[in-house]
Amino acid sequence: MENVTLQVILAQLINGIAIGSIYGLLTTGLNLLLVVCGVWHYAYPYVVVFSMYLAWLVHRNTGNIALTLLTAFIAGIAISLITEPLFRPLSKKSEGAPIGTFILSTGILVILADLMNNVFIRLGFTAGSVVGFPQIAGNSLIQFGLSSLTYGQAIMVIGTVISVALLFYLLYRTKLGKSFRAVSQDRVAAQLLGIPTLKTRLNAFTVAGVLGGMSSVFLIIALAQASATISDYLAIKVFAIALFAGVGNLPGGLICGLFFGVFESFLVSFLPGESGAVWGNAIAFILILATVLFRPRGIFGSRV
Amino acid sequence: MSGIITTFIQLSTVYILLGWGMFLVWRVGQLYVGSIFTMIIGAYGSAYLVKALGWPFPAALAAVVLAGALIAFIFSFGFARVSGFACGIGTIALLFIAQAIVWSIHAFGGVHGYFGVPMPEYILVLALASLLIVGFLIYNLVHSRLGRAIEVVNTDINLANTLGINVYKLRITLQTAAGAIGALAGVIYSFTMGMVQVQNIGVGVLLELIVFFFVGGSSTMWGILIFAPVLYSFHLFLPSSIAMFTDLIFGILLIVIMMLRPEGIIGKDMFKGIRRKLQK
Repeated sequence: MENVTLQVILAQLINGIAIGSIYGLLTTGLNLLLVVCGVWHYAYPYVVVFSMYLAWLVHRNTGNIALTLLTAFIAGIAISLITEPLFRPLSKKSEGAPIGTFILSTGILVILADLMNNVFIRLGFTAGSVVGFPQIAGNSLIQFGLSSLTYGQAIMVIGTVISVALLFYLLYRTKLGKSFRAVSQDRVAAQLLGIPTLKTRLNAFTVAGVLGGMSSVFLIIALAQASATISDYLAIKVFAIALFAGVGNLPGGLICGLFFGVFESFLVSFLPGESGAVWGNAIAFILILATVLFRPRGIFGSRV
Repeated sequence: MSGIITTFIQLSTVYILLGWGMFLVWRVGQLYVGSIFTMIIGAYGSAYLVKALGWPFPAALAAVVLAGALIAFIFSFGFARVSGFACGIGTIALLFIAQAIVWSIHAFGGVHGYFGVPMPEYILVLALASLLIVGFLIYNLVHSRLGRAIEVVNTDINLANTLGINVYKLRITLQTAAGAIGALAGVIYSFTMGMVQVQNIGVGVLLELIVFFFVGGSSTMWGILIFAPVLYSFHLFLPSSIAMFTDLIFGILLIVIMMLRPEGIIGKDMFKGIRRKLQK
């Protein structure tokens, strides 16, 4: 009996780390946009899920898995770059974390959500608001009794570790990273020193797009489906994780994303029946609400 | 009056009331959607009290408005301390929590919703009376000494603190008022629709409210008053070939407004301009 319990715990831990890695990537991308560009991009998870829809369209027409995943990745970057000019007028006006960019991103999410829920169905691209993918990399890599680590989960975890390592290398060992840090500290001073702020913004959106694109690919592997409802929950969770960790805190956001994924996974598996899924989400929000109310600067401290 | 027009007026009133609740707290630097949370309480609470427990409507109305104010008051001790953005995320999280709570209460119909709520004709009178009374109160608040304090907070919070304005207490007061207004909006909603489904109230209302509020104008109470009915009418009165893309239109409108005129269509400068022209 103990053995079975340990195996269940291990299975949930693996699952939690896999999902947590997606949360970590998204939170990192979000924090990067905030710190470098002063943009609270609430539509960022919607961009990720919308990329999955576009990938689904490619899969429907070609049946090619590699092309599908590549589409998800590239769409994540492309849509992220397309949204960048929309934030420019507001970012110039305010210091810190302007609420205006949050409101503007709400406009973007309304458009993306309507495209997924309504327009695509009316145009006959999709039959419903939920699109399904075939199971990708679902075979077991390592078996632990009843539980296992699948290829997909391994790809997600290793992919996240590599992405984050590259991101931190970029931030702290490259000229581009230095420009990110300079602009995030003082945009005007950075401009005076000759750092091209527009190019830096575009680069930041590109990097966030890469992280978003990777999240898109991992979500296809993990969930094998996409819907606007997923983006609703993803958006509030990612923002809540960012607040929980400390706004703009890149390493903090990553750690808290992983923790959140594991916590949620255990919660959902140990709560009985349907209430598991419902309360799994709600208790997570309660935890985050408590952080907002009692420790507004987050666990690791805000960087904005 | 035709049923569609009555429903349109009543539901527009709901959005106007929610918008005014948001306006009150926005003027002290916080994005607050707690009035939608109390709207859920008002909608389910009043429907259940009247239908299941047989309470008279006025008693149910008073009870849920008080409950909404009390709950908003309790949460305001935390929300009043945090940044504008954290308040927004926290109150959005409340909506999802409310959804989970309602779904797990079988007496409220769970996921399916609560049906069979009476739809009396006097709801139209209640809606219009609420508009007049709440509008009157907010107008007087804006033009009072408290309103000037709110204006100072909106202009410069550090200046407000230096002048001795207790921003924390002010936020608590305004969030409590917004909670009461939200609960009132919830009563009008449930007795207009004849049913309540939390999944229709939560994120859907939130997004439309944000569009109506920020497109209409976030710096005065008139923006939401004029633009909530105008924009809401898109759903009902536009030709169906265009109406099906209403959300797309809303999203584009919001983006354009935030890029070009972040204060919204009806701003304070508009009133100053009109006053100057009248004085000439």
